[in-house]
Amino acid sequence: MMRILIVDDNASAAHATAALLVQWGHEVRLALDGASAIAAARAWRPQLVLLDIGLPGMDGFDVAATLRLEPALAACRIIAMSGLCRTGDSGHVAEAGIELLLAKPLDIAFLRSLVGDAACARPAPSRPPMWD
Amino acid sequence: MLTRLLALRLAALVLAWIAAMLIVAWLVFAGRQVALERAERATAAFAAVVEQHTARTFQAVNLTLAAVGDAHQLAPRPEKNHPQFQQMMARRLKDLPFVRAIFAIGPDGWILHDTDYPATPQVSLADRPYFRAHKLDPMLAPTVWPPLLSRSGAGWFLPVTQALSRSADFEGVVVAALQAEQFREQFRSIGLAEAYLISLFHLDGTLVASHPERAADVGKRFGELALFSRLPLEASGSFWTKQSMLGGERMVSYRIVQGAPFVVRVSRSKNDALAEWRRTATGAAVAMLILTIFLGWFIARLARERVQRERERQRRMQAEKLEALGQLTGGIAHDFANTLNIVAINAALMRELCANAPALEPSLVQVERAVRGGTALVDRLLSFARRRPLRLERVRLDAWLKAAQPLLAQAAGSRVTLVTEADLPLAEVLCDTAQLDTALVNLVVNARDAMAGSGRITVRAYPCEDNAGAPQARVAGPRFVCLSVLDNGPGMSEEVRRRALEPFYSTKGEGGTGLGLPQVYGFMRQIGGSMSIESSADGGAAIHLFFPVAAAAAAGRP
Repeated sequence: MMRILIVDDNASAAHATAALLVQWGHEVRLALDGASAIAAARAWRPQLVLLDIGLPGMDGFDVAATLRLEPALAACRIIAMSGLCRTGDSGHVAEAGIELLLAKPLDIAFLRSLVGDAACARPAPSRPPMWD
Repeated sequence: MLTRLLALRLAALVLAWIAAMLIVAWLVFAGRQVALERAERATAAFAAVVEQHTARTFQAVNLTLAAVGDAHQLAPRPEKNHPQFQQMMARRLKDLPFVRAIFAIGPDGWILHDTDYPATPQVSLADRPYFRAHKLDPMLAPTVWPPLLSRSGAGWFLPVTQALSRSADFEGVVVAALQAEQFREQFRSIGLAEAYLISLFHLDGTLVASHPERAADVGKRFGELALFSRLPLEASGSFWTKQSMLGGERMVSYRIVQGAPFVVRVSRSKNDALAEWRRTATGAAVAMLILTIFLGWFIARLARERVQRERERQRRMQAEKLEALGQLTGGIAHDFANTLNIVAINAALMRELCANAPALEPSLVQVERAVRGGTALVDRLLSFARRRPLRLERVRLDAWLKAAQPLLAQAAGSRVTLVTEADLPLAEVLCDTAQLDTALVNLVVNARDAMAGSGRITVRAYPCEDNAGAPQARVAGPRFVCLSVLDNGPGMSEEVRRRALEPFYSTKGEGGTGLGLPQVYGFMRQIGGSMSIESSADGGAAIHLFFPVAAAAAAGRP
């Protein structure tokens, strides 16, 4: 079980993703734009942010870069999604501190393997995995 | 091709040219008439001047002879060779520079008085025609005779004669010998150009003198000249004739000398009369020729510029169209991806929520399959829209070609011969080899399909200087490495060739997505290169991919 923050300006997509992740047993919160995503991340300290790149105003890369400036979120994984790329594309991804870029539509099985990994492996160093 | 305005301008230009031609032609033609009329007036004027001059000469001689005759009449008759009489004659002779000698002949034909006495021998002139005529008719009026050849070797002369007495008794004849030579001198002194021929004829057709000199013809008769058939009708006139002493067409003016049986003839060759006009006409013709050449050059340049502009405009339009289609395709791909995303996630959710509802299973499988198909389409659209990030590396296309040969041969199929060639050495280019593989497989499959499965495909890598034929502006500065795919299939029509790079334009009907070539084009644009298609409807097609050499290539950005 992981705390996952979903950031997507498309409400239908965000809600569906949230429902799916909840179904998989994760704790999920939603943010529909960049600013509220950063606020939510600061307050809630998710273990993983599922971040849409094509946000209005502040885009996904800006959000990721801002989050990376927060020492408290150092252990937080950021996985981005975009409708204009293909899974595994590099580019700005590394500079923005994004672990991986996923193409839309999301490959459900791949997503499951990713969040599955997140649930049991790579614990935040300050907190042991079983602690939560 | 031509706009209305340009066509109007061209028409105006050509009309102006025709008008200029007509005006110049008319001026030249009119100029010729004027030149001929002027020549006629000039010869007529000269003929009049010469005639008056000649008439005065004969008048002066007649007056002198009359004076000599009167002096002889004073009784008693002077003795033969009387010095006083001779001196009187000599004095009178001085006033007539064109008269060589004056002498009086007695009724027996022997010379009575002679200005040249005693240098001249005693001779009888009883046989001379003028003497006989006067003897026959003592009342014969003063007469000028046709030229005679002097017996003293002084050349041709014109005898001007009068009876010594004015009564019916024949006392002899007084004669003035006019030197034909002197007339020639006179004509020469008028100072006309060589092109003019001035001649003096006796009315019987005998030539007396001419300038320029025709010594051999003096004394001969030229009764056959056109002039002499006109004389009985008119005392003066002008006409063109081809029948002349000098040959060629000439303007002839003549005038019968008043008071003497002579006619003055002035002629001038048509060639000479038209010489000045001809120079002007030649100048005009050369000017018009230059104008025509200039006009032709100007129109040709206009047309060439027009064609070039049109070609450039089409090229730019094509590039802009592809650019706009790229933008549009990118937007559609993005929205479509988001929509598919919602479908995919909800399908997954349904699978989770209704794990024990087997009735839903087939529908879910259909939905998932549709999502996969849609995902593939999004991928291709993104390729054309140049939104796919590249993994650029430095590649030598000959090495790549060698490695890709089996892949391409497989794409070509067993009935197609695939030949790969490379002109070495090749510079390195920046390229994403995985996508280059896809692109080339795409092109080879296209070529194979165009050849209906059998034929020959050549893939050739070679250095080239510019990207001729690509929709992008022609660049000759940075060098390119070109990769060409050539087939010997049926080729494509110009319409197909022009639109081949547009997405969704397919000639394969249901089977084609219309994204194969656009995908390759998007890829080439993304790595900073370009692409062109060459084909004729007669057969054969060539796709050229232009890769900028590595040093000059801009790094592709996602």
